[in-house]
Amino acid sequence: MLAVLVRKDLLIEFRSREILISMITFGAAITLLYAFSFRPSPESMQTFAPGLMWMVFLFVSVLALHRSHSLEKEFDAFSMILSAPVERSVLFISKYLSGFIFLVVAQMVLLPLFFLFLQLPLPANLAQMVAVFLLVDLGISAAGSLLSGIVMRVRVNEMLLPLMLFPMVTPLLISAVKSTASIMDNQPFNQWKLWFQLIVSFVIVFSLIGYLIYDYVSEE
Amino acid sequence: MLSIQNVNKQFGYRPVLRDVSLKIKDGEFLGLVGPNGSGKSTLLRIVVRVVSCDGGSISWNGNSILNAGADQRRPLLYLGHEPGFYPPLSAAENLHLIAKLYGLEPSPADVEKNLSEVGLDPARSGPIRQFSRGMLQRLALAKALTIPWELLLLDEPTTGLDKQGKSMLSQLIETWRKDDRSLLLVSHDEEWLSSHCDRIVQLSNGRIQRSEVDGTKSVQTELVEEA
Repeated sequence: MLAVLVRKDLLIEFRSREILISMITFGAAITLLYAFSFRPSPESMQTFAPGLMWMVFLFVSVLALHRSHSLEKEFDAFSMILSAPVERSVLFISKYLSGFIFLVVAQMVLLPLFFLFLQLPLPANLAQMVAVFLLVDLGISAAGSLLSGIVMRVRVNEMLLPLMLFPMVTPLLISAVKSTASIMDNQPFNQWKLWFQLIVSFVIVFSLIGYLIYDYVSEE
Repeated sequence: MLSIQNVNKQFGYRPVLRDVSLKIKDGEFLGLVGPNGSGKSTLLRIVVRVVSCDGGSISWNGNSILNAGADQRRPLLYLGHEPGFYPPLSAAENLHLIAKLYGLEPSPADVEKNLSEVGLDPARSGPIRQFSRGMLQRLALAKALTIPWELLLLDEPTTGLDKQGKSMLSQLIETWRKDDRSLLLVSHDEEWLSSHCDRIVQLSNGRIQRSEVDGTKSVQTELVEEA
């Protein structure tokens, strides 16, 4: 069932191309804005870059999370899914995974642009960078899918989602910025282990919360 | 048999359903009428767990629907007032997807046959975003032909349907009657309901006010003890 639901989200996106195009366009526009607004030395740019980078990805993720749920509302397809014999926890995981996939695909396009336009050197340890990015994406997607499920039936949900999501993911984002900065600075893992552990904990906690309570929050 | 016992629902401070109790026997066609905002659609949505209820119990063949897993909803099919499809997908893709959610794997030929049966062109591969309200309603009926169900909950099924569409719906309902399946129909059109239902229940201000047995044969004007 999980595969059916994730494939459905991907097929809808493949047909409409609404989510990825808006994510990439918006992300590229902010990246360009950063590139032309800041003209610091390469050293200071490397200090600011992780924060700017995660700010872009946080804004971009909101677009994906909101659109993914608002599509369910358009012809009230969400009621159809809720009334079908589909476990709500599986529905949460499907939204969580499809949100994660959209974010990863958008980052695959936006990250090279970010490094190129802000003239950043590639980190020496790419594997660590990829691991941190994937984990943070999982965390944003877990918290975002849960919140989108909660606010999707509220009239001003497009405003409510970022209002609730940004404070909620602040610990995750701080950890992401610190970890990314450490990786770009070639610091040994032991020095930023704590931030990495915080990211892992956030992912576990929000994935579990979503899995356990989506049944209740999805009903009107 | 569907048994609804003392169901209550409030939206904010506004009570929508107050101690509603109903029973639908196997093979029975029950019509639900009432003015706008009387709680008809909410009751249907509570039965299939789209909307939570504040109190009461609902069971299908003795098994609780409210506190059970998703499998308990399998015999119930809900066709709501809104179409319940994905606009970027085609009619066939939507039907195929919904069948998969019910654990079915219909062949393309089956899907095409069901689409033709409700008067939709199976060769039309465009997104259903371009469909009219009537076409979406026909597609919803194709869903009822694709998914096996024991109780069908239909909310305003005649909305948007033209004369031929209404006649096709009437024919389908009569076919389902022969299969000994149950139906819960919500409509404003009491005359249309009387021609298809064994019993009509009126909801007003969230309470059951009136129950007519066998169309218009017997009328009880007071609250009916259904349980």
